[in-house]
Amino acid sequence: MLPACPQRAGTHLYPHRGHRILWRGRGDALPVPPGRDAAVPSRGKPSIATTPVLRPPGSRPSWPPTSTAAHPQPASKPTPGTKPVAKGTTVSVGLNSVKIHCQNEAVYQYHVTFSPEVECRSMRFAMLKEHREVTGDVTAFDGSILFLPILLPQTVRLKTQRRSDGEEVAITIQMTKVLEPSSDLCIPFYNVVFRRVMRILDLKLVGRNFFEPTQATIVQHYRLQIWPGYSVSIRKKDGGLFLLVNSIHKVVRSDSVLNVMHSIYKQDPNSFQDECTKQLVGSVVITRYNNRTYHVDDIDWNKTPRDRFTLASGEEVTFVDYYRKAYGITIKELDQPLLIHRPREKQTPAGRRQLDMVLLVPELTFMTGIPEMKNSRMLKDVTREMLQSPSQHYASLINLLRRITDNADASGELMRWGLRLDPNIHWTQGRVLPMERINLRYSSFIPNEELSWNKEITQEAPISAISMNYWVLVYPKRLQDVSRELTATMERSCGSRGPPRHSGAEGRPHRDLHQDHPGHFGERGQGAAAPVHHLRQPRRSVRGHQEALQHPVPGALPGHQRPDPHGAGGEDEERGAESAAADQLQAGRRALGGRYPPETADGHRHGRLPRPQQRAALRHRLRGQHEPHPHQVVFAGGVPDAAPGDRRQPAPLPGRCPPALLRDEPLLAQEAGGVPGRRVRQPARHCAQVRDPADAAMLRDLRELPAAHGGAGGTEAGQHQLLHRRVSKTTLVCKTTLVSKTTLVCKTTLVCKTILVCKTTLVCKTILVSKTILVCKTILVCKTTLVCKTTLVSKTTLVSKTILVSKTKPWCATRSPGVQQNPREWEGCWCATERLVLGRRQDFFLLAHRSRQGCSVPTRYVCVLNTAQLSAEHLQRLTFKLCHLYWNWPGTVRVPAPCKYAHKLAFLAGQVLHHEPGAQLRDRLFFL
Amino acid sequence: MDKNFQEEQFTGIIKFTPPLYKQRYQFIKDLVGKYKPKKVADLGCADCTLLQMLKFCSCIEVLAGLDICTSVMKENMHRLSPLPGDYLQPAERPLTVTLHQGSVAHKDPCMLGFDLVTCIELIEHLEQSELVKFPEVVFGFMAPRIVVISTPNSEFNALLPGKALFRHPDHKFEWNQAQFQSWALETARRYDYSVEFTGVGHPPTGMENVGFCTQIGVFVRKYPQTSESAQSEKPTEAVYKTVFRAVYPSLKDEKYLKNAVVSEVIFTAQNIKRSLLDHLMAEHEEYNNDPVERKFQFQPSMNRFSEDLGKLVVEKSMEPFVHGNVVYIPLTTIFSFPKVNRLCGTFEKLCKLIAGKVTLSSDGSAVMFNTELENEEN
Repeated sequence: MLPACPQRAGTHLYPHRGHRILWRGRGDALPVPPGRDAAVPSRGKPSIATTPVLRPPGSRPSWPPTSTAAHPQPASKPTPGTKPVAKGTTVSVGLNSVKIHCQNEAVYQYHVTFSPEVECRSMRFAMLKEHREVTGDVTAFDGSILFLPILLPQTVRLKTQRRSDGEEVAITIQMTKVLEPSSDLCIPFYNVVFRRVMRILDLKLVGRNFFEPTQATIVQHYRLQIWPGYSVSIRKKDGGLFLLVNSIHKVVRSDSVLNVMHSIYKQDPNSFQDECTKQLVGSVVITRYNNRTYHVDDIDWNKTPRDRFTLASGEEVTFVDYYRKAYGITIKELDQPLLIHRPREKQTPAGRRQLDMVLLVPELTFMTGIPEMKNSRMLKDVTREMLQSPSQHYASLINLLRRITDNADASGELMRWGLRLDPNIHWTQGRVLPMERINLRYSSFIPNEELSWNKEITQEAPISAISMNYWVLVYPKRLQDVSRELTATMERSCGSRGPPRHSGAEGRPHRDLHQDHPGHFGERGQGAAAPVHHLRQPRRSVRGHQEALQHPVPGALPGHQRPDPHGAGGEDEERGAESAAADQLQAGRRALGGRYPPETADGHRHGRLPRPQQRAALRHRLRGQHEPHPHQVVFAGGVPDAAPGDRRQPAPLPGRCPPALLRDEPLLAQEAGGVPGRRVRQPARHCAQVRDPADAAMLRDLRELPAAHGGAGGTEAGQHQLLHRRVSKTTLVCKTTLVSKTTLVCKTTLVCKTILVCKTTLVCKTILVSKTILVCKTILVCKTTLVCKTTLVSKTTLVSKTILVSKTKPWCATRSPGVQQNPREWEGCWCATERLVLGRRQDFFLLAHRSRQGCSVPTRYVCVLNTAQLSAEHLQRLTFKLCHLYWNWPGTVRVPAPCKYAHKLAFLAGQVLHHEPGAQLRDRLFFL
Repeated sequence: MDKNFQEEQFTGIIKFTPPLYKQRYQFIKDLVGKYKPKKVADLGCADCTLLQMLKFCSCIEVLAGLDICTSVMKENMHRLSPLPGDYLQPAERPLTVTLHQGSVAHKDPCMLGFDLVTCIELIEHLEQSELVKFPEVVFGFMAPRIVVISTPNSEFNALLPGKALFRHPDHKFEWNQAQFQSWALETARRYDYSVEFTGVGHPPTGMENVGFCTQIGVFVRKYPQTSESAQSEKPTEAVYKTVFRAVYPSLKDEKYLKNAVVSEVIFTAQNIKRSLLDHLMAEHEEYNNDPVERKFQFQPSMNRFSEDLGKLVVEKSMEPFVHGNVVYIPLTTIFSFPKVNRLCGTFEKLCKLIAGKVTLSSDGSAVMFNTELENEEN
């Protein structure tokens, strides 16, 4: 219908390169924990209202633009893997990639042989270096393979003398290949060349990235320095060579580790060693005397700088002497312990002794990274310094490019290999996706600009609700007051919101949670609740353990509530408590399983403390001590009131209900009806059967698929199996593979029709830079679900390795037509940037959420397997829809909800359960 | 100097431990330690190894390297740049490292005013014409307080393996002890220097007459510092090309000094505030008063602060106190802390440095902290 790349006159100031397609949808992001990606500055709230972005002012399109525009394409069977037909507005998207123009015709690869053989690599280097007049100054040599930008005569024979014994060595240089200048083989040494460029610009290498300590921002109150910097790497993409460059920051403490130790000691001399270990071990330190970073693995309390160690020469020196002699540094404190760093085992050239331990002197080392945050204000201050708006980000990238161009040495260094950087970052084209319609029981709506449908779901009747009949509140005796208060508030608030038919809670004091017999939950009650100290992780774990394993009551977790200092007193308080209770109630009422309110989602929305706590908190604040609210509330959902057999006749109740159902059912209905945009009011029958929002999503989307194929039966459904699978690599403890599956029997057929696997791979430790792989597979007739499960699993694991290797972190910003070179934030996009990735697989970038601050980092999706022959269009829209489905967040999330669930489950299993949870829980979101 | 060496008389192979080049550098380092020069130049710096060692000598404020070959300097010159760690705790002394490309046969004003000039294994690489000009440039023009010249001792070559004429293919000549000493004495006499001969790389026992493997002459200027007028007469045409220049962060730089002072002031003030509040809380608990009542004056007891303040005389104006939610810590109190004191020197300077960076009371005499804000942090 639309051309692949509709050009809108006046919208783009830069010529489009190729036909990259992006979509855009809109969504709210969950507040994400601070990090490189999420933490981007809030200088100036990015607001589309004030910034003429991509649309002509005044003609902001409504979403979906028209019902026809959002209408699926007439079912011409899409070829798999083809690039989708654009739907929605196109936008320009700036990426954190810079095109590298290769000006040389070729790079020549030679093989170098030494005869007699020279073992020592450095000697090989030196010998070849003596023949600069033959090879030229520009070489890349690894000991046997030599790359040159020039063509030598077929074979070159050279002679040199071995310094050590004067023996004559013959060097033969033979050409093996003529390479494209953008060849994969060249990239490693291009990266070396680029590192040299960064050094010429006087950027300091810390770890793997480059920073500018001269431009440091100093946060005096916390004795921190924030160094701006760049992470750079040259990569090959479909469109040629690209420099991937990102503007980043490094937080370094201005205090030496010794000073940090001193301050820890001042706070509490008794627990000094424990506290030190806690704070220091695991952190990365830089030293005063060299340019290395070390990971602190341990602290040696028995060693001091007066101890001796052996130099490579075999000489024994004390640390004090060594640093005085080698670096002219006098160690002042002679009784400090030493930090231990254990280098990772590396392939070292034979004969060299591998260091098994590096001892560092605390006085001479500095900690990097944001210190353990007891302190939310510090966190806020530091993030504020680090956050960058898109235009700032853009400016810093452009600044780097300009510095390289302006510096003759730097650009000359690149030109030696015929590389020239494009003066601007790479711009590509994206698309704004049509918005998804959200239906409630009696109404449907298009999410507003802010992408919060919180208001709608609280005001309108949900599609289905599950009543809470009987609750057991379990609490230790000392928390009796709190519990009573909670019960009262809950009842009150339910009343005000149209009470569930059988609401009620019974307070039952209990001795101690540790002795708490799991049978107490759910033996009679529908649900159980227990206040828990939110800081007491072990206890919380015990609970989780009990719930999930010993007695598989649908899991539950503390509603994490912090005292809100600003809400101290005032009429708000009451309402806050009520809403908190209501939230809990909602959680409980979602009797599919208790829930763990996701930390990301509820934060401040949740209410405040009952008065006594508030007073206590106030008192604590007065004292200047940190005292979090000691109680949390755990709800364990019990047996749903409707017996499994009765599922088809749920009694939807007014009031709040799991929003996921709200959200997904309408979509389901909408798709089933085949007329997007039409209000569909009666999806209840299906919804009754959907026990898991993720499944519901699957169901909906699966139902959509046949229709899209023009196949029969938009209403036909199959047996769906959802596989959440994630190997929890990040959790140190265990590597459990978890498969949470939900089997859903729908209507008529029992044939397993479609399996959709969502899998997230995590780059180690950086949860925020998660890349998501979406695997979609349809198996036409597959009665043995187990078989397809295994095949899928094995395939995804295989593939994920490949995915991890290719790292792409595009950064999105749009170019405003009015203000040139001023990229700005936008709220959500689909972007399919085929030319930026290796083209073997279908992939695309999606920005489904909206960041309130800083730059958005879209998620990259790679379609690993697509036997269902889904078109890219479908894949992308499907993914976007899945991002709407996080069950208690009224907005879109960064990754598809099933992926997020899988994370949570894997985390819980890896950190706490260490076993597969009870079978009864398989169809519940007990891990939330 | 280390006299360790291993020797196998029979094969004639002599191995120095540590290697001879390291012994030469160590010799220079020892010399620097002895004379504490502020400005040091290394002629023929090659891959800047010596400069890298010297940058850690805390007496040196200006380091310069000169070599005829740019590419050899460029290879490792970035090791002379400041380390990231240098920015975290700027040193007290300033340090500038500069590399020049040029010949020792040419005069350039950038080489004037040095305290120590080292020519390690340099002269044997000079062509005859350059060697003739060399004394005039180094001793006559640069005229540093000390000049160190080292060169191979050809008499020792017999003990070294290999039958090469010279130790390095680029050597134009290698002198024996007598040749070097006569050249040195003549030069010293002409330019009014005194010279002492020494060396590194001891000969094997029984062959002491061979002399050191590397012979070194240490020249010390006899006349006092060249007067300004004398220097201004000298040609000022720059012929050297600056290849590299790195300025190290130091507390002499206003920017870093300011940061250091502000950081120290805030740190000190926070410490005082904390102990003040702790004490106050304890007091408060004792009486178990109505929590609304918060206005009081607190006299810091001597023993509380004595560990930090030392012999500080507590004057009336130096007492930190709490008023409402605000803690006031007089600047004079902070100034009395030795660290702050050493950084700023004078009270006026302290005030000047922290202006605008630290919240001060209306009259500018005390640092203010809002306890409310602080507690939220926690």
